[in-house]
Amino acid sequence: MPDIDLIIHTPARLRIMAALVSLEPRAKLDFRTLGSTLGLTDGNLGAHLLTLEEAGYIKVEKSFVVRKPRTNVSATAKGRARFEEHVAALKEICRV
Amino acid sequence: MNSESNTPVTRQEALSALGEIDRVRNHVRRTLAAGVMSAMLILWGVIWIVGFSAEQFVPHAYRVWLALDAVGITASLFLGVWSRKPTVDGPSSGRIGACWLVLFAYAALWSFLLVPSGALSGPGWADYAHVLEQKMALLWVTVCMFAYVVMGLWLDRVLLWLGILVTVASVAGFFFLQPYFFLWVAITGGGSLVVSGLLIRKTWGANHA
Repeated sequence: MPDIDLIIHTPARLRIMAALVSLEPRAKLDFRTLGSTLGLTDGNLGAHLLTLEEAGYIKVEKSFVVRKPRTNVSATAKGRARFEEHVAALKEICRV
Repeated sequence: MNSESNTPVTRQEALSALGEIDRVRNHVRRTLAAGVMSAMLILWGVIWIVGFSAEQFVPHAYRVWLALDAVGITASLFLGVWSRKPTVDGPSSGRIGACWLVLFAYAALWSFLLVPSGALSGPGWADYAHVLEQKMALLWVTVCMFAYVVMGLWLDRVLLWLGILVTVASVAGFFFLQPYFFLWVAITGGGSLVVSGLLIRKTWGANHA
């Protein structure tokens, strides 16, 4: 039986992972867009992204575009796999 | 932090989490599609209204269509480039636009193939040409609405029902409103494109997930 992932199961991180996994595998989402889409403040989003990054579930890339800093976020292969496993675990619970 | 746990999650919590995942995924898809799609739909809706109205009232309306198509294609290319937001980097961006382009290319090919090349003159040609023009209009409307139905299954049920409704209305107009068919298509087809474009602009991407 697949396991519930405690890192992902937190409501904010669940929504962050759901948003990133809904993109194509190589696609990245801009930090601001991710925050505004999910209705999270910069500080709150940054803290959750750090947790997910430390777990290896997401990749955060910082760059400069026309001298302005930009942060792009994407789900890693490991993150996608763990998220799908988490979803499978949730479905399993619903079936019981 | 240990990422795996056997902590019991209730069925209600699991259902709620799954619902939240679906809601976020749907919202992200809509947000990414909203910008360029609404502009394209409004643009082509106006073009359809003008073009099909011209077919109803102006002789040799194909000249109007040529001009409108040139304007539409140029504006679409401009919108496609202009609306490339720096928010998503990767294959997601522009995929919906590419689908529409492919569909239009196929519809153009079918339009070309379906016109009988060996019967462009003769006593019955004028009458047949009028019916053929209506059939071509119906082909483009139904192809476009087919895309609506597919997008509706993927993004929003409103588009699905709109696609079905306009398809049925257009086919019904072809059989029962022959004298006013082009005007009917201008209103139902063009109008639906404009309305759905405005609807997408207003609702998708406006709220948080």
